[in-house]
Amino acid sequence: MDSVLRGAAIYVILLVILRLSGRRTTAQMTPFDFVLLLIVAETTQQALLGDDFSITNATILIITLFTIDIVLSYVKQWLPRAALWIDGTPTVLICNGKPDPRALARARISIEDVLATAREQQGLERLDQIKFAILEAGSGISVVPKG
Amino acid sequence: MQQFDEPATRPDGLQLDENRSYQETLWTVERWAWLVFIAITFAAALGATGAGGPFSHRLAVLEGGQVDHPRIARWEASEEMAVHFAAGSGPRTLMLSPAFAQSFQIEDVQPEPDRVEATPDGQVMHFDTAGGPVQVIIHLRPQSPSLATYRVNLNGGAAQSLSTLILP
Repeated sequence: MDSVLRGAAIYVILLVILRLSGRRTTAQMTPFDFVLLLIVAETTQQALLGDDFSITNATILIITLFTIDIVLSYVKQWLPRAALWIDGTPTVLICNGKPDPRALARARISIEDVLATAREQQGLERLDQIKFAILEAGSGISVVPKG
Repeated sequence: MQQFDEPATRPDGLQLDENRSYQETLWTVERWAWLVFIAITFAAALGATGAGGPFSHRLAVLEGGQVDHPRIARWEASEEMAVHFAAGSGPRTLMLSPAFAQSFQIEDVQPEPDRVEATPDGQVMHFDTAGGPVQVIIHLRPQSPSLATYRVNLNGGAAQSLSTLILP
């Protein structure tokens, strides 16, 4: 029982903290953000296992985490509202070539971040070549060039 | 064939289901959550979540001495209880009620008691000491998340009820 409760508690805590920390955290990952992610993973591992390093405990934890993930994927299918809470919604950062300063500021994304993505994804050189830039629900920025 | 709910196409031509009002609410909630994160960080630094810090321990004054016990502890994390016997002569005793053993595993006692006696009131540790103040350190490991309430007495004096909040 302990393993299941630990797994469920850590899953929910991570889900809530990652959602509340904002999408920028995972969208624009700097080398330090990557180090932070490794530390979070290490810390979580200790809280998940406690002092029980048995294969049984590890197996139960893995099964618990996958089960919660599968159940949540069905919950998101059945209840679109839950999908909105868990995954979030895309945010249009640049619409028809016009940047949305409020969306950029609130999402903590700079024009430089958008330009970097435009260069990487589409080989674009300037802002005026971008038609749409969208901060996707899955945390990445996608760029649509002007036709 | 399964029917799919396609997102509507916006006037700007983008086929996207953007729920801006929800996102605006979430951005506001996020910023309040960051304040909560900061508050939790400061509270933790002050010991409100145990493991050191001024709020994590409490000094209880008992007949015959003082007991510095954890006010807030963490499940399965090492803790320390310091018993300060007041100056005096003769053997010293420390009584811990059965509720203490239910909540904490005693890892070691420094100095080791000369004798431990099981009584209906709990375990009594006897320390044969010379005169003067004596300090006994007990290293503990909380056994389950709960509010542990236990009774302690020194040298057979009046027992005092102490409590420790054990966080999960």
